[in-house]
Amino acid sequence: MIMEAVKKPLSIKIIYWTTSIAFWIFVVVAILGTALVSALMLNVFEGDLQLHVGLPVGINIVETGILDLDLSSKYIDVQFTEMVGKIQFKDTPADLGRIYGGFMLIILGIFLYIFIIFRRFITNVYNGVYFDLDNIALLKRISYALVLVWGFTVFYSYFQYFYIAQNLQFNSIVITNDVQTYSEILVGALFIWVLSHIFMKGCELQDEHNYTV
Amino acid sequence: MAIIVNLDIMLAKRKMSLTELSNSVGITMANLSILKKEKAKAVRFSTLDAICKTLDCQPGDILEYKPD
Repeated sequence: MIMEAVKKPLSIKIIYWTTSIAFWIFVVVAILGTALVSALMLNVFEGDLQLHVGLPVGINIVETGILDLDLSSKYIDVQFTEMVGKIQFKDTPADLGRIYGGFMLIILGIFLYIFIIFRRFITNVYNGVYFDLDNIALLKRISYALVLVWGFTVFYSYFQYFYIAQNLQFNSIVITNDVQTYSEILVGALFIWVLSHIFMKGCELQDEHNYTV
Repeated sequence: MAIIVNLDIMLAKRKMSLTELSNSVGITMANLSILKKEKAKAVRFSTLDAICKTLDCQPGDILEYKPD
């Protein structure tokens, strides 16, 4: 069938160029990340590493203060009760650095894969190919990769909880057992999976339309 | 498929080529070829009307049902 040249909508152009720019930025980040992981694996920092990592568990902390709002002339007494935060391993041991480096490499790899697939999908849409078997396969692959991301982040969270958080000892804060499970990633994966099935129906309709004389 | 398209028979009876039919009914060669090769999934009434008018025939002369 001869594809008619149609004017691309502005929204598609914006999404395409934003995705392309974000993709190449991520490629640079992935290269830098891989270089950092290689340095961690080879113990280039030799005990001079100050690793900061997010701790995906709730922290009970009691800290009082005041809130100065412009709305009223009064100060409001406030108190921190629970929060999440980052932890710094001072002079991080090489083995710990290697473990986090491994985690970083896996997550970079999965995200790079998702980015490549998503960019292919957006490029197809940009070229006017909407309801196509290739697009359905790409959407399904993205949803499965997101499930993998979710599984990995849950594993990472529980690793942090059992291996790090439970062994932390502080005077004024208490680590809770409220581990983040990032269920929103799973919802996102489900949404894209449903979208792939909608595209499948669209593909059938497109096929019917192409063979209607 | 159980629906047989007898367009080539009708064209032979009227001594007309597919290109001539395409020009007179205003349907692309690609679409007429899809119809002739029985690859079509649906036929518009407007297409059927134009073909029947040009070939001076009934829809039943072009389409035929044969059980599988």
